[in-house]
Amino acid sequence: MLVVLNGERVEIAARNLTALLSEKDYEHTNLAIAVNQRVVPRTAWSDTTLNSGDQIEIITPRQGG
Amino acid sequence: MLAFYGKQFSSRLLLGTARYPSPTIMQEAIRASGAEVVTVSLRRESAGGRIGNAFWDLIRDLNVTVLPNTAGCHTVQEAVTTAQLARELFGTPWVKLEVIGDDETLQPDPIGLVEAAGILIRTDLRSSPIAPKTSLSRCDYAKSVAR
Repeated sequence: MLVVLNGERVEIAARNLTALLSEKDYEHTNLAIAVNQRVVPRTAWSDTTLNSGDQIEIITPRQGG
Repeated sequence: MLAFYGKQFSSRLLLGTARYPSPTIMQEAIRASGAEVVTVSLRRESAGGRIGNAFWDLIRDLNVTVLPNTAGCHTVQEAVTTAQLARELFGTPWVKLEVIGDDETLQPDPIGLVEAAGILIRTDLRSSPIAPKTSLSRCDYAKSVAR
């Protein structure tokens, strides 16, 4: 299905966030995720079902002022 | 002595973590400064999390208090979501709140800032709004937001 991942439209096979991280080769540490502008706690990643058209943001810490 | 939300610091210096020539120099500069609070940012991660992991390891080694910011956010919704992501990621209710009003000068959007701060305060996030210079001090400004 087609989702928007970090601003880019991508085709994914994953049906939940944990599967998506594996599919896209993310390490599971130091990440936070929002789906459709709602933050999904780490404990809910595997229970969060993804749907076509979802907007997913995966963010990590970076240098900033 | 500096106090934020009941937490006391011996240094009044808050340091950013951007634009150092190298990660090593960043660490050395923060240590040499004596700053106990450093600001960090959040970015979309496209490298499997490895870039963020490397940076975060450096910050953790410093044993300082982290103040996440919402740099790069242009709307209230973006800033609120980023602040909530920061709470999830860093485990802190603190946020240095920024809503950009002008791309060229990076002047804040004060109206958006007030709206975002109001939303965050209601969800128990503790924001430090970055506002343009006005007749209000930042402290008074933050209090006005909290009301």
